[in-house]
Amino acid sequence: MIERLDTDVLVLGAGGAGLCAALHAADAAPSLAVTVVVKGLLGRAGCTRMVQGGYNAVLAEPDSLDAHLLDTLAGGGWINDQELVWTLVTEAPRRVLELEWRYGCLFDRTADGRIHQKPFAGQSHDRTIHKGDLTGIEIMSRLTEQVLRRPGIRALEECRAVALWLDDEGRAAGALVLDVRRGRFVAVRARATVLAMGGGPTMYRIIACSADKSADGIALGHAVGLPLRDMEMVQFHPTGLVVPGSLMTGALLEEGLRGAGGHLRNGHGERFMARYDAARLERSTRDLVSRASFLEVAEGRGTPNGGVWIDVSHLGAEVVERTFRGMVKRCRDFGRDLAREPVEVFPTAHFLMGGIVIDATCRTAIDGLFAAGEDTGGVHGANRLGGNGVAESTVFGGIAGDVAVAFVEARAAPRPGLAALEDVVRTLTAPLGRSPSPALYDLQGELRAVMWDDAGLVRDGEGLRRALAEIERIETALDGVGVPPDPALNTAWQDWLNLRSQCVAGRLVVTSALARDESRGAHFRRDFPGPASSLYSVHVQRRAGDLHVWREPVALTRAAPEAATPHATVEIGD
Amino acid sequence: MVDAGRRVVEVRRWAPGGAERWQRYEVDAGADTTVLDALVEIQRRQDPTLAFRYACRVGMCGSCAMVVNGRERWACRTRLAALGGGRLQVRPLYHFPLLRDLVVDMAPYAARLAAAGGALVPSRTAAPYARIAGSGPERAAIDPAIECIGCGMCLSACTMVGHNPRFPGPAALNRAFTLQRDSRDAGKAARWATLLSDDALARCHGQGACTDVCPMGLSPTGSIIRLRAMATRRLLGLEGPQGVVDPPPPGV
Repeated sequence: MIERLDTDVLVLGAGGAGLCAALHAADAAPSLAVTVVVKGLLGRAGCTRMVQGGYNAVLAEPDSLDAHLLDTLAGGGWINDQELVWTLVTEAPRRVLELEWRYGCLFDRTADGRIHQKPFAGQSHDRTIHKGDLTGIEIMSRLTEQVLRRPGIRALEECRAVALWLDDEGRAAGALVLDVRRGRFVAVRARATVLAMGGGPTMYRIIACSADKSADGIALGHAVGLPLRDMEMVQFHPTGLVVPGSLMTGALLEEGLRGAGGHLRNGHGERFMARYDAARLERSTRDLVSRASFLEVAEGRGTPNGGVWIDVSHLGAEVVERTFRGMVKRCRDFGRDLAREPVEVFPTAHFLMGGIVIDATCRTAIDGLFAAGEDTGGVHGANRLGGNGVAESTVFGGIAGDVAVAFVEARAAPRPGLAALEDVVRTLTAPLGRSPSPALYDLQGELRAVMWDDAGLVRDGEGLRRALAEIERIETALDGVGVPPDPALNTAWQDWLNLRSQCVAGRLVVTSALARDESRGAHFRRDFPGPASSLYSVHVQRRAGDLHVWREPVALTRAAPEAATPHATVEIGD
Repeated sequence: MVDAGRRVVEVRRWAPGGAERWQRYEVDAGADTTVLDALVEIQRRQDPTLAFRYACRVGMCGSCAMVVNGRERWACRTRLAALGGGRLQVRPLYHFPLLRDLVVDMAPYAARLAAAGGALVPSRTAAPYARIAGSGPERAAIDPAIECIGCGMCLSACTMVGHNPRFPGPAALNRAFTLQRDSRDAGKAARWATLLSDDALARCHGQGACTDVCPMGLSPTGSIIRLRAMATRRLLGLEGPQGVVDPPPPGV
């Protein structure tokens, strides 16, 4: 019933983090077998390819590694893991150059041929490297090509990890993988495993991230008892497109529109940001603008479709068409003329700052298991700066690949038992034996609604406790839902599996949000509207079936808040 | 909502062991309903067995490429209202092995790309940080051709791809063009050997179907013409430094 596959390095996930891990592993040890598990098509799944704005790396003076560190810590509300941030800022320049000369990315240049760096949210220098406004496509296309020309890397397309595999001593031994096309389970035994499945806040009603994500990596890590940190920190981007009745809803309109002087108006035509941040107006920070838009609509001042208007028409149609080509086309496909009229937008769930606890070499609490990218926590603290996301995934993905190889070379192949995996298969195949029901999608809608309403932009203890009960009800109901019996390319079954993971991640978000009785960064508690006097991270871990939640003080190993300098206030980027 | 109405959607169905057939559904379409929205609605509410593929759902990943009313399109960015009235016919891409319903195996895309040398070969001598003028001829040639999302629509539309399995196809030739113009690449000689073989550049008939359907507005046809011009200059010994050949003047 369970097929078998052996490999040396197993990489779960194939966005920027997963492919960098695979390439680094293959190049460090070409004789090793590297296997990459891709939920969708190679190079086209996940969020790295959705990056519009760019990649933060310090390349030239007067910028400095210290400045990038301090900007990232200030943006993150000072609860970041400072050693992870230091690794990010010191490795990012190397990784950008590697993307260029080794993998073939061609980032935009200045007139004299140097890599162009543009100003971006909350940064003290022009730091963000880009390829037009489609930086992610350039990075993912080039990484994919390089994977294809390395015989040591095997990609398992349209396969997804459904459980991590541990040996009797609790060490990582690979993963149980579901081949979505064939509907078959494969136990992949590996000497080192890299978890890089990309998080993703798809348990919310309105999302910006890729819709194929379902926080599987978060759920898998949690299931084997890995501690996770700051799961309450969910980033909402202020300007997601409102497209009634369409999956296109939540697609980003880039923040450059506000940076360039775009206005936000409520349904009454008022520039409402004057009431929330009179000094910076629309150029206020991402969390503030998102919350303001949310409150305008909640208080009855929304547009006909429950959003707010973004208006850049006063900049001149020709300027808008030239400067924001991709955004204009995105709107035009839906009959909206961004260059000449206001367009309805609303905050959209964008990124999970929280995740699995790692050290600066991507080690987790489980021997032989490494993690990188959005599945991990600590790099971004309470709020991620635009341009630090793809830097994180490629930097830590590469490190995970290197470290996994070093680990493999010192370790014999593990000998895990199959019994635990057989239990997992029985649980996961149960809905195939029940009669199919559209109730699956009712439950999906209910989870998304409660996360949005009670664990979204504005939270309080009562709402969070309500959300916890609702998630528990949805999880229980999910156990009774059926899907069509043929396991091959079975969309309903895959959505059932997605919803399981999304419930787990949702519960971790809500539980952690209850434990943070302050407001900081992306996390706003109506019942605790100010920041606490101490800096801490919220940790959550499954122990013997129970959820344990605790706080840990932040170690200020590199800098303290008073070292921070004033920051640029214009937010532009993804 | 405006434009709301009942629309007939005919979907090409096939599962292993069965026969191909058209299946008829009806959906309520609003002004903004896309082909992808219609398929998702059918799968969720009418027929849970319908198989199709999508990921980003906003036009960045190209996973939802399919043939709609006889033309390759991305389902996520194609509104029913923009297709006019009447029934809608949706079928999988041509020239790829069918897996089920609207899902095809994209492996031939990757295989053709790799066979055509569609990846940078890093130069052992080049500086890691190449100075390439932002407005220079190299960038001017590469930039309009580089934003391929790998959706495979051009391979589906290309008449030669179906006819000759060794033909790299528009996407791979387009990528090869950007690499032959890239001063950092050390793989040009081997790539020319492939490109000048009997089954590559010479096989394109210039029908332009690839360019017509590209959702990113790229012109593989133009890249192929430029590659041919470069090949001619190369054969005549008119190559520039590092094996780079100047492109023909714009307007191709």
